[in-house]
Amino acid sequence: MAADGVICDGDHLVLDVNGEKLSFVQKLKANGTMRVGKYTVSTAPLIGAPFGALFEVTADGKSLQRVLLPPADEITRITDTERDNSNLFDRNTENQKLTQEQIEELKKSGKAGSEIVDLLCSNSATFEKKTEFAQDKYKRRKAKKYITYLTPRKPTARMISEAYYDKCPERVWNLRHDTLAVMLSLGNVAAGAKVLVVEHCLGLVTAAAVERLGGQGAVCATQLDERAAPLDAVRLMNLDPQQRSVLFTAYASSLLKDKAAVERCEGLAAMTTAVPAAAPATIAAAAVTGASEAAGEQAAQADDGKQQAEEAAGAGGEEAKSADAAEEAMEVDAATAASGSAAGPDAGAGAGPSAGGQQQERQPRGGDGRDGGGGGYGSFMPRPEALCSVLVSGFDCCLLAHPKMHPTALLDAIWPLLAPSATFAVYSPWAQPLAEALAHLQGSRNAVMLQLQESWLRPHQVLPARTHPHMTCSGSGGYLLSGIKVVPPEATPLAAALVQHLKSASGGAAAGGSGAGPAVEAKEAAGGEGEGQGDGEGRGRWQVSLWSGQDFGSWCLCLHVHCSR
Amino acid sequence: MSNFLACNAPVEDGASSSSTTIKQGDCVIVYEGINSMKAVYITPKGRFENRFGVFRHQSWVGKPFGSKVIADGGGKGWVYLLRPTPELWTQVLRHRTQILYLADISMVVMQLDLRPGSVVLESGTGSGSLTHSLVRAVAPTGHVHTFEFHAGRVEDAAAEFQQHGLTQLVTVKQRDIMENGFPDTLHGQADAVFLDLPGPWKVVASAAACLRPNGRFCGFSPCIEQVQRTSEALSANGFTDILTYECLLREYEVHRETLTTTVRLADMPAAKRQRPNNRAAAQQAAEATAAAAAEAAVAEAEKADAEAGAEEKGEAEAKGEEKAEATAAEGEARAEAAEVEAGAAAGGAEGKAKEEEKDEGPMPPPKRVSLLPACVQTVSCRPSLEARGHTGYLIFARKFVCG
Repeated sequence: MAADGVICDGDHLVLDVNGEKLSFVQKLKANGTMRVGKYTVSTAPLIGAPFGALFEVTADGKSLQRVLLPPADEITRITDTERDNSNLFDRNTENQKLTQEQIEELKKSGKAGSEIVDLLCSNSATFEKKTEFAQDKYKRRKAKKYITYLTPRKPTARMISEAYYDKCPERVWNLRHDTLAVMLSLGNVAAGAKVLVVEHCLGLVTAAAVERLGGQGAVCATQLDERAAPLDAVRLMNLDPQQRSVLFTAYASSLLKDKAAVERCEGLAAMTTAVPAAAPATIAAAAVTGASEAAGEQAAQADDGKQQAEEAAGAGGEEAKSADAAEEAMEVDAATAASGSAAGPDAGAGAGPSAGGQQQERQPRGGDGRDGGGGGYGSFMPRPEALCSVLVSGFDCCLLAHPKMHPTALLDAIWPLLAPSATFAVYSPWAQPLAEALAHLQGSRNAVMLQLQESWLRPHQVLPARTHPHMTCSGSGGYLLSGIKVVPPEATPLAAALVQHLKSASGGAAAGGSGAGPAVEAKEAAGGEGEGQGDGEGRGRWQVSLWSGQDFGSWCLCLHVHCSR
Repeated sequence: MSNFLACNAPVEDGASSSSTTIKQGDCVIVYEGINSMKAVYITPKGRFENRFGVFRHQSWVGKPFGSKVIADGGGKGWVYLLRPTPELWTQVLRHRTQILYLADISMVVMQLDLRPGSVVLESGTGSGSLTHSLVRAVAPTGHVHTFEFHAGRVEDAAAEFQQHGLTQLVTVKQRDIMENGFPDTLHGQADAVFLDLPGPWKVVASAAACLRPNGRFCGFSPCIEQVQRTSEALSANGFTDILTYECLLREYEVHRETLTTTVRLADMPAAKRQRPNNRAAAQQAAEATAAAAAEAAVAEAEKADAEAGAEEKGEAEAKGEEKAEATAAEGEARAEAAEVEAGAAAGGAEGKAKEEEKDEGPMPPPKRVSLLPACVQTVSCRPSLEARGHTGYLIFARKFVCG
């Protein structure tokens, strides 16, 4: 039994051509054709073959022939040569007696690729004079041209990552497979983990996380604004329903609101009722993921009335003030309903059906939007128990790969969703934004184990007597900021006073401290829960000293509003 | 009984969040600083002592992982209590051998295509650094078979796995894999094989026998000669896609710096206004063309004589211009003498110099000041001065899929 199983009708594949080029085949059809290099071949031989099996394009270039034994590598084992290139003259085409036309004819006559290569060697004026090593290289180069080997590979996150990086690295922000690997390690992504993902790398990070969970745990592909979380890579994998069940999409805003609602109820020990009530809020929000902007606007108008009515009714009206965007208006409605139901049984009875009604009403529209790009996977709605679990105890892993978003802002936005001791890893192709985020986290004392690292990878050619690093390699795998979230205890009055004093004295710069801890300093007491409003202020202050850009003030203000929401 | 893996945690039924709080028997990573961490196992009567104070384990029970705790008995010291991860474990474990670190570990786990349910063979176990990451990747349904020929290390590793609640997921056995290969019972059972041995090429045939078709092989070797031999053994034993990589993580240090944006040009103290200055001026002037010399001299005059009067500057400038043609003046020892001489010789140039000065002299400095604040605070990063240069080569290969 092969390690990756066999290829079935409808599977997705990654095609490896001559070990050089990777491409995707989506939804393999048993009676279809596919492009392999410059040939179009029938897909039939692939069905039922194990993933990783080797095929050769037949001489006529129309079909695939399974290769059952490893082809001879034909590598010269000698370690020393007596020839050199002192009598070798490069006269380009003159050295090859076969003309291009003759070669084409050979190909048409159905000669095997290996025979053409032999003919090319015997007709080369210089081949015999070359060193054995050069002959090797010549043969390998010609073989790649006249023999096409094909290996269908299982579309694992690694294969997809390598294929993306080969084809178009910009589209995944140059996220290389080894960097992705380190990211998954640092994030402590494994079965049972609850992973928060915010990315803009074609769903690659999400796909890798889903793969590592193996059907146990939760992966939340988080959506920040109107743009849906990318899931392209997830849709390229052959996930079974169990594996896929861990993934759901949600708006960050509704998660934050639900989280706040859950926390408010915790004091009242009403959590068990709060959670099921909170779930529909996110579900309703997720349902509109695919809705067009126009639809969103309509909804906003429609919701305005409802919102005001509920505000008047006083059922958690505080959220209403943050509602300006269309989507937000809807979520707030739902969140309001949720918190209302949590706050008291009476309010809950009133608000519950309204949230349910919204969900039903929007389901078809959201469904349309999703099925369009869903590739048959349908929508990734959060299961109530998964949502409950991530809201109550928080996410314990966080993977961020959204380089256009400043990591300081991004981390600030999702910070309340993370559990204490959550591991996080942030990817960016640039070091500077990550350095700023690291300084910010250090200053706010919200995280430890902070590291900024760059990944470096060098492939080597290993051949007898010809071993050396490749002549070209990727320049940088990008940068990773990683750390672990911590929660400081409540500030003692003394500490608070000390902080106040130090702030006024040094403008928030870290002080050597009371000499108690390894890096005791002033900020420790300012944190509260590490996510509260008071801390937002502390961080805002920190950034004043961090950045002196012109638009900083307004940016900081945004952040502040966000924090206190 | 431990909390090493998320999937080992007792199923959370709604309100209970037992896996997020510290309980008896848990392994806790006590974080004092990034280079100062310790693994502590919570016991009813346990105490943790460091230079910052004494902590009773009991006072940690029930606190969430990630908490900051203050020392008992009115001490002011504090530490953070972190949930163990294989990455943290790699940093706190007791070294029994040279171990693999994050970059290589991540690469191995990724390139071996490990996922929940995989069966992986490892040799040697060493300090169990990689083993923890392998177990994390294949849990909860896979298995790691790890072999070590050193009896003491086998015992230690087994005790650790026991303590970390991994016994269902990992089997550690004493066996000389280089001599005997993997046990026959594992033939055809493995999805992946990892070798960190002095002679991995000796085990390639056995690895091939254990791997299922399309299974993945990885060897870690510090020396290129080992890679060479392993690589040859792999292609002779039915492996394909043989690739050798070197990977590293480069650490960056982040600094906050205050950079001054105004270039404050101090005056040279009067007592020191001597020959070196003249010489510099002379060199500068000599290099310049006649026209450029005048400009250079204006600048020079500004720098050197901010507090001096207008006439004095004119003299200085004239002096510079004069020096261009009269290198003999360099020989003059005293500044006063030079000035006098220059002043006398530059009669014609003086007028022109004054004119220029009126136009350009006072203009540039105010511009500089108005454009930028006095200083900017920046965050910058650079690679750490001391960096890892080489750990080892990773050879990856895939078992050919025959019939």
